[in-house]
Amino acid sequence: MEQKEKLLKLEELMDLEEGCLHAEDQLSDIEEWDSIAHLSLIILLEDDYNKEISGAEVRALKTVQDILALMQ
Amino acid sequence: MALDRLKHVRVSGIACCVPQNIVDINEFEKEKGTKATESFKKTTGVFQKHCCHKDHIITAGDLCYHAAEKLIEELSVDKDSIDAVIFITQSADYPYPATACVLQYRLGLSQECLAYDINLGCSGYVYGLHVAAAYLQSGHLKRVLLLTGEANAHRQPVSAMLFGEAGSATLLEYDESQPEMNFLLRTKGSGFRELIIPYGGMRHPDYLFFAELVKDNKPPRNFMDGAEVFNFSTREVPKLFKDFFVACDCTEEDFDAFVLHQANLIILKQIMKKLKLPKEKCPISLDCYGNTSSASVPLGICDYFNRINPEAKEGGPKHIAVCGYGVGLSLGVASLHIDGNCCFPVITTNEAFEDGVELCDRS
Repeated sequence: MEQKEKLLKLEELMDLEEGCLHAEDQLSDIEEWDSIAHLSLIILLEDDYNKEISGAEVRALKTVQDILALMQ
Repeated sequence: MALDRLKHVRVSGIACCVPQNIVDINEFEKEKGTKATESFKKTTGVFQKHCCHKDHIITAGDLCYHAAEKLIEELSVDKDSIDAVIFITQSADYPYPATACVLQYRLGLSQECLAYDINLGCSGYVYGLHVAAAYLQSGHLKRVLLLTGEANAHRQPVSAMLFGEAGSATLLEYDESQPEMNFLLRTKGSGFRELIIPYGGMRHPDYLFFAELVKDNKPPRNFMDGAEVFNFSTREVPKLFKDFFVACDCTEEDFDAFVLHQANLIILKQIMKKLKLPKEKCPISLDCYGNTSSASVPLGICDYFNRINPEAKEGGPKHIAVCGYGVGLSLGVASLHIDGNCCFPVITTNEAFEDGVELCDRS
């Protein structure tokens, strides 16, 4: 999947405007990357990528690129 | 394996009581901001909850007391005929004695009545049904009063917005004409750190430290690992149900309703999706009451028959699957038949028990 499409999914997930997110962005700088976004990501990975990740793995994510790497 | 089938048990009725005081989630807007508050409501599904004031504490024991009085009155039960009182909570009135003993006295039950507490949270109601139903197996005990309640939301350090307070009372009776109740119960103790109040027990007794944290709203991160609890709930509960369906040779279609512990909406939606449960069979009551731990299933049943789907009172008893999951980590599912006419509208109270205990002078 195109990186742009993946970013779009993440923007939707965090309720951000289109084009806001970039691969190099630090997640700690994004206010919307909150506990609810963590759960939404877990659901997204299970539903769309058949991938189960743990709470510790979610907390270990540092950049948007780290999330993109999981989305395949 | 805790797969059990229990005969001769009638779930005769349920009553629930919540504190009169209502907390509107919009009240958190000032503190949390509009966007966060709106997103909270949308994700958790909680719009309001009942919760006592810090300066007028109503305990889980109080809420269960009023629920029990209501139930006993509505069902015209002879108090002397109650053989057991089981009280399930994680916010007992005292470190000791067991609140169940105090309730035996407050309710005016016979001294020929066993009474004790069980320390469980969100899974507590299903475990309580199992204990109560197991007591009735021999036919010697005829009536068990099961009480479940939680009333610590007014001092919860984490997710204060999510949790509500409620108490429930359920009467179970020996009745040979009843169909079997099925149970499947599990424990994943390895996750005990994921939902915990570490202070105040014997291991980390410094409760004052805990009280300070609560006061300044600075709880350590480890009181609730939201993502892990979410993973546990949305992965283990569907598995539990699937195994239950196989073990009991039944399907979703055999049940009129699924009353699931009201953890939060995002968890409920995910469980329902994975099990392909029809929305109309899964009543949602946390919009009004929040997450009330061990009281959420009985509260959900009463809310289902009185507010959400009153037509379900017609046409005789309904076959309901109930499921609790959470702190422990602990989980369980049970099936029961119950007449909606004996599940009473939720009542409220503002009354706290004057216990007459002589306290230390703090001055």
